[in-house]
Amino acid sequence: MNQKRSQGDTTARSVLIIDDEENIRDVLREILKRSGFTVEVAATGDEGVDYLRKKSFDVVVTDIIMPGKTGIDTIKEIRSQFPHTKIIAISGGGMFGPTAYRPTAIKTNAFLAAAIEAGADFAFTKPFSRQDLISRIHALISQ
Amino acid sequence: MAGKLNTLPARLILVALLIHAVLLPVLFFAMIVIVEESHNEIFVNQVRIYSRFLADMLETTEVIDSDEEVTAWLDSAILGGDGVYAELIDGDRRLLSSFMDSESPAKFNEDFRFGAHGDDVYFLSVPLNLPNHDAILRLGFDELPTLEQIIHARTRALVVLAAYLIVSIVLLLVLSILLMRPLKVLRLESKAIASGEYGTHLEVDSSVSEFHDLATDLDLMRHKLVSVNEQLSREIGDRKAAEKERAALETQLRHAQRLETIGTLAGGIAHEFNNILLPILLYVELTLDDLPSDSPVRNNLVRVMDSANRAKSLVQQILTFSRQAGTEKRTPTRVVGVVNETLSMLRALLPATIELERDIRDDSTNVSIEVTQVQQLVMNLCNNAYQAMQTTGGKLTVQVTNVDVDESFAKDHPRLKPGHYVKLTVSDTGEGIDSKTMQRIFEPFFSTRGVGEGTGLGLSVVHGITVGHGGDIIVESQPGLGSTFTVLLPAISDEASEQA
Repeated sequence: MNQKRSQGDTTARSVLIIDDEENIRDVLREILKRSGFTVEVAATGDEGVDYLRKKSFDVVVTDIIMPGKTGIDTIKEIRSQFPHTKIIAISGGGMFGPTAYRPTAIKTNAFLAAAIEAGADFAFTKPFSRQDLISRIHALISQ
Repeated sequence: MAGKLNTLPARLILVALLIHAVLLPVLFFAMIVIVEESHNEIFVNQVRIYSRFLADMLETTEVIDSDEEVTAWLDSAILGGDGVYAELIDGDRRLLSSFMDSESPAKFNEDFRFGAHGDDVYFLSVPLNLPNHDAILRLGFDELPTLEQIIHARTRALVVLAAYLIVSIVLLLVLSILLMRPLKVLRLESKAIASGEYGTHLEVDSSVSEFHDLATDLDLMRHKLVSVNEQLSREIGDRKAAEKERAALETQLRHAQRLETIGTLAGGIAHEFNNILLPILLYVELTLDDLPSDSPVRNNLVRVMDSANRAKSLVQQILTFSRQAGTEKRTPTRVVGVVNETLSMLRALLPATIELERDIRDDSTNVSIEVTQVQQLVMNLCNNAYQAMQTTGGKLTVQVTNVDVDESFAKDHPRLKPGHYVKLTVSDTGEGIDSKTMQRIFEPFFSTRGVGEGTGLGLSVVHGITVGHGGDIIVESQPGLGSTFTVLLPAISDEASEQA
């Protein structure tokens, strides 16, 4: 279902956003729409995975700390079921979670390191600039 | 007086006296009775023998016929034997000794024992066996001499017994004193021990086995007591030390727990904060996009962005502070590089009243650091220095060199191991830090500024970062002249940096 797209293809890319905060879902959708992406939003990990089963997305942007199915588990599931979909993890950080010391962890957050280990392609700490996000999405898609 | 009766000599004498009070009278009277009876017996025997002799004389000679001769015999009886009464009754013939008067016969009262009738005379009648007829010889002997002898004997017995009593009491005194001496010695030795001279041995110079054994046993007890005492002292000392240590550890634990609680709280808040900041920043960005470039409200929105960004960096500081272990990748980095970058940023932010001097030795020593953390460290130190000189202006000096930490320095600064270090120094000519404040400057949320100015986290973050990288931070300050913060970060070897 998921055809590999070539570089420079102008067909709208699709992004799925998974976050339990409505404000975040809305602002990210707005930003990505203005940059030309097709955007869908989901409030929980399960909802997101359901979406993926119905539709294919180029990139999934998912929060890590969520009620219900955790972001880490969501990432693992997406990675195993949809190997071609790129995953970007985002996190507010702070709260303690998988705090085992990870010498290769990036950006001061064990959560983000855990996300990478679970299969995410990149991780951002909130708040991030929209430019960073958009560039990263482009970069991932063109891989 | 009653106290005196408690002593050993007094008790011994008292007991002796009591015993003697009972025994001596008994003894005395027994002695007297014996003496008396023997005297009596002798007297009576003597008297009877004498009387019989006289009777025999009269029986065998022809004296009996002549009144004159009989009278002479009767006189000799009185003269020779302490007699007071001599009479012959021969039928009708009654002959008296010439020493007697005519009234005497009325007094005759035959005695069968000494002292009977209380008349002080022992009367007896002796039958005469004459050829043709019987006659009676009546005699009386003076009991007084014998009585006097008895009294005399009594007195002497009394004297003897008294002497005995005195001697025995004296002997008792001597005995008790002899007994007392070893006991006194033991007492003195015990007192010495009780007053702290634990080395005093308990021994007595006595051949009495009980005292010897007592002294030996007591000395054994002393040994035990001394060693128990020492043991207890040691245990108390140990316990006190352990107590002290425990208290210190408790304080440390409470401190650590407090920090942990703060950390957890801060971490939780930070998470929510970041989630809240994201929409704020992004929506403002979007709104700015939608506004025409000459819109009057642009400026306001820009200010909103600035504030939100400040909030972002504040949350970053909080997170850095609340983190428990470094989770960012540490790369070998030249501290010089990071410092230069940071100072460039800083130069733009500092007012003209602050002179910025950099003393950066361009050397290639690397430290393994998390870049963002060291950026933060330098920023915070410079910010602190700037704030100290805010009102007065002054000079901010930043210096980076290589140093070696030797054994003695490491001893004074236990966090450091001897070796190569990169030294970063940030000095200001500001108001300085007094000694009271100095103790607390690295405490989280401790600030000498007013509310709203600064978070109080800057230096605690610096401290956390430095220590987290295996280094240490040293502060020197003189109130009124300025302060110098020295950060030492362990350098890594060239091979390791080349492999990076």
